[in-house]
Amino acid sequence: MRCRKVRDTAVISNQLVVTAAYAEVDFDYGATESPSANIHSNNVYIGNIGARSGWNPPSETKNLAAWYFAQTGVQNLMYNSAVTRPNLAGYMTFADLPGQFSDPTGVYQPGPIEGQEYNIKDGQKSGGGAAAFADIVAGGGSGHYKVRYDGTNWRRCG
Amino acid sequence: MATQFTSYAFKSGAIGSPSSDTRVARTLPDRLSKDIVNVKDWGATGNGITDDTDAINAAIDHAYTLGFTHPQYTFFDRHGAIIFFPPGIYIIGKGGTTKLRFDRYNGGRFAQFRYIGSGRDVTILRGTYSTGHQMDSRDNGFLVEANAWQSQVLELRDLAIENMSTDTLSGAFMSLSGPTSVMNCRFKGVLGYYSGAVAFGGNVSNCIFECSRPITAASAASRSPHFVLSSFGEALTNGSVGAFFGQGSFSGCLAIGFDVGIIVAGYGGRLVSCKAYRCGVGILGGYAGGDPTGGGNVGGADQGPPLSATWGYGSTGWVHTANWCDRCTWGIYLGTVNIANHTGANSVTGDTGPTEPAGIDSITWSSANGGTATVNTHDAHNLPSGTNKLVLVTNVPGWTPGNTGNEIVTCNNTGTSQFTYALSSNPGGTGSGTWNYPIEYGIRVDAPNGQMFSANVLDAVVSVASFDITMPRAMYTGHNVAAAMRGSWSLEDSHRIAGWKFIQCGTVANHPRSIAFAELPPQPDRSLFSNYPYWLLAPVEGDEFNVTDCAAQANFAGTVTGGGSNRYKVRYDGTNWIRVG
Repeated sequence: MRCRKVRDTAVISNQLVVTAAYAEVDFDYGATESPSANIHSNNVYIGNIGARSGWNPPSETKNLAAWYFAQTGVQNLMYNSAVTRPNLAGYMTFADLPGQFSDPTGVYQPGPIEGQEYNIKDGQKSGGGAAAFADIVAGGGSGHYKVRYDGTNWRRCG
Repeated sequence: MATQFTSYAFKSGAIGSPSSDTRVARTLPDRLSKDIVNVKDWGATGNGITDDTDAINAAIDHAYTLGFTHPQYTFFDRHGAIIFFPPGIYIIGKGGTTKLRFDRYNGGRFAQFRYIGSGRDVTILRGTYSTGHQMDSRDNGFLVEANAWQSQVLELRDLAIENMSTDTLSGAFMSLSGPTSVMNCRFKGVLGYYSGAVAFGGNVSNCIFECSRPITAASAASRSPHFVLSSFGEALTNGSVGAFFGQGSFSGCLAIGFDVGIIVAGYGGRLVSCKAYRCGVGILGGYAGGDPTGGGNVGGADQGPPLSATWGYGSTGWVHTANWCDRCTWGIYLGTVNIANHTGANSVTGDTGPTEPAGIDSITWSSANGGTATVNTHDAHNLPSGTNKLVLVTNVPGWTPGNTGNEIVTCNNTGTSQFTYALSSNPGGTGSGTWNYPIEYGIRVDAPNGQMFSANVLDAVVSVASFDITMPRAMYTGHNVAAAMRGSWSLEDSHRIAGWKFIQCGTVANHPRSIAFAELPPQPDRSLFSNYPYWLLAPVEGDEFNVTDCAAQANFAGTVTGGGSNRYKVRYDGTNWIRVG
């Protein structure tokens, strides 16, 4: 499966069990075009089997917020594919959250919107240190946090 | 003066000027014998009395001489034509000794026929045929078959095929001819329509499948439809099936009165807007059946007899949408191995099973055992020994334990025409009413992986569960999502539940349950997945579950272990399960 421009799309209940030289799922198709055509928003990816040949994340990490994953991905790869990630969990950073980057044309995931939740890998308490529950979160740390936007700030909720 | 038949020309100068009229003169025989082959031109009567088999075969043989021959390669020859049946009842194999083949194959000469009737209930091909070898490629029990060559292209339209036999090893129509298109037809038989699990590119739409075995009363000794909860295989061995469909599109159809209404199996297809009415299982994804070593299988081991229950074929990449199962013992059963299917917006309804209700002569009450009602049935009930859950409809509401007069009651078989049930208070007088078998399940799922269930209406009154994932092969559960479904849930299958994400499901009284810490991914029985590692539950960072037995962890984000009694929500952070709720 290759994803180039994917918007308002549900990827549900697919079996992707292939021995792929490159990747089983490529979230970066079109990234080498100039300008990059790899732009995603408002997608869900749930209940899909596979990933033994790995997932290729988008090189433009602003696209990560465009995807909601559930019951999908594996822990370990089986084959010597070009890519190395069995899922995209733990790949997103604070800077990739909606509203944390400039998006003047509105092509990336809309937000921030109260209630949005994401898993990030570089969380820390705003001002430094480990964040406790409901603390305002900033990037630049090493915490694998789940964060929720409360209408004003991103706060830790997991 | 009449024009001689063999020289009548359609061309005339009446239309257009002579210089621009490029029409070509063709004779009536050209049109009648080469464009559309009418079976009545070959002696078929359609009178419902005369055996028309030979006449229809003659028409097909003639159609097989039409088409074209490739100048170099017979492999590319294409022979065939439209074969038309005027209104009538065409008797096939009078005496039960002859069937009809819709295919032709002779040394590389493919046949490509279109069989067109005058209407689903206007053109009827009828016979009574059974061989004792339902799926044998040479001697199968189908009244009409087209199985000679898998690349053959067929179309059936606007006709009915009725095999009146009620023998287990009989059926109406079989085609393993690949992309068969079937529209607005009706199939009557013990097995209505069979296209095989590896047939490809089929299209069946707006058809009716009618069981040749009449629906019986619940009390019948040979109950039909008859579906045995404890022995699915046994039920199929002796069972009836409306349609067995391989890859392609199956839509807008109706199956009535079968042990299994519609079976879909193989890779990739859609089952849309169909109805299964009063069947044992309404819709079955995959099937438990087929002995690859015996019986003269059609097309090799992959297509063993679907009704002989020792082997199975999975269902992968199917969409089951907007179907309706009414009064089916099991509404939708995704059996064997089901992978990457989307089952959504289906309805399972009804308040009794498929059989006709059986009569009750009287119900009396005694104070024994805290209150007991004794039912005397009008006929011998033929219930299994022990307890049975039955639907009781009584003349007075008080004769049912819930005081509704129409509910599922656990009954004890106490005699050939008698059963009892607990009833704490005496409604007075003598009761009467009917009894029937209940609907047992709305949706059952065995070995689900990569499945999405969403927005299914599970409104049937069931004796066991609306949604059940406790089947034996639930060990292969993973990567499933269920969303927007109420009803009662049967989920007591330990760590399999970790293979599901439930969103807006269940009721206060009955809903997807939380799990024990030991049930969190990774699944403890990973050895089961040695051949299917991509089915494994990881865990993946960000996974969240509600856990029932956590050791005390007062701190948010603190690492959680099992062995306690605290009910926490936990999240996998890539290294540990941490408390987040």
